[in-house]
Amino acid sequence: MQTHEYDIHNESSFQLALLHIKGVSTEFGFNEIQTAKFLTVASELARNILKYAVKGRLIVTQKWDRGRSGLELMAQDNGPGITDINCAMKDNFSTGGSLGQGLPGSNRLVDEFSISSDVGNGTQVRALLWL
Amino acid sequence: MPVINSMPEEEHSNYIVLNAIRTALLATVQVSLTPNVIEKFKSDVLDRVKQDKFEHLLMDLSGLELMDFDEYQKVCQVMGMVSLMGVQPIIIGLRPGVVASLVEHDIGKINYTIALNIEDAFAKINLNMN
Repeated sequence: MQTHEYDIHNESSFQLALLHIKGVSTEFGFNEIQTAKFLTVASELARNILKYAVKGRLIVTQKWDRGRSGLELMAQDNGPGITDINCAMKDNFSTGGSLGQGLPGSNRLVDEFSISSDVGNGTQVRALLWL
Repeated sequence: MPVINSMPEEEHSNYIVLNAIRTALLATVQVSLTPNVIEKFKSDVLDRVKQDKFEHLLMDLSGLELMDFDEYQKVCQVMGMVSLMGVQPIIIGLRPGVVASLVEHDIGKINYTIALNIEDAFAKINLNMN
């Protein structure tokens, strides 16, 4: 199982991670639209890491299940966590001064999406897009 | 595990190219809209619009392979700013992947003129290149 891991701690590491994930997505076999969707989710989650947790990491892993394959993206940080995940997944909800479309939008861009968070200890977001 | 080296953000900063085409200012965006890039872009566009009194800002985004919601907001900020100066902004060349992502973000309707390519934009503003 091939895994790629990227530390996210500033704008440069963020952009370089996206550049590399684009290569991974294309090599994996995603078409242009799938690659753009997967990269957009990676971008939203990396931006959230920088905004709320300052640093964290993205992990991209190839997955296989019942004859199909996909790419899984995990975003992990040790930041303040999310107090109410249900609220965070609603359109137009934000605690960071944005318009609050990042997480719900990301949810709609992939086939599987889940969040686990421990307030005060960090957040882990999992997104998966099948080929 | 890949090893990712850091790259100074300044290296990205100069890649939004501005070209004057009669009454239009064409901005060609070929890089990710990082905070530094967008701030420089805002400043450059406003200076050029004020200095040369353009009627249209043609924002060519065909070089963008993705546009997340934050970048979309930044683009809208620039469009809003030039609108307040009496300039008509036109978005050009959104890629299919970018469009698909914007729609999933519930941004299917954009309140600015959209053009498929530069020729289409010229036609929409009746800018005759001959």
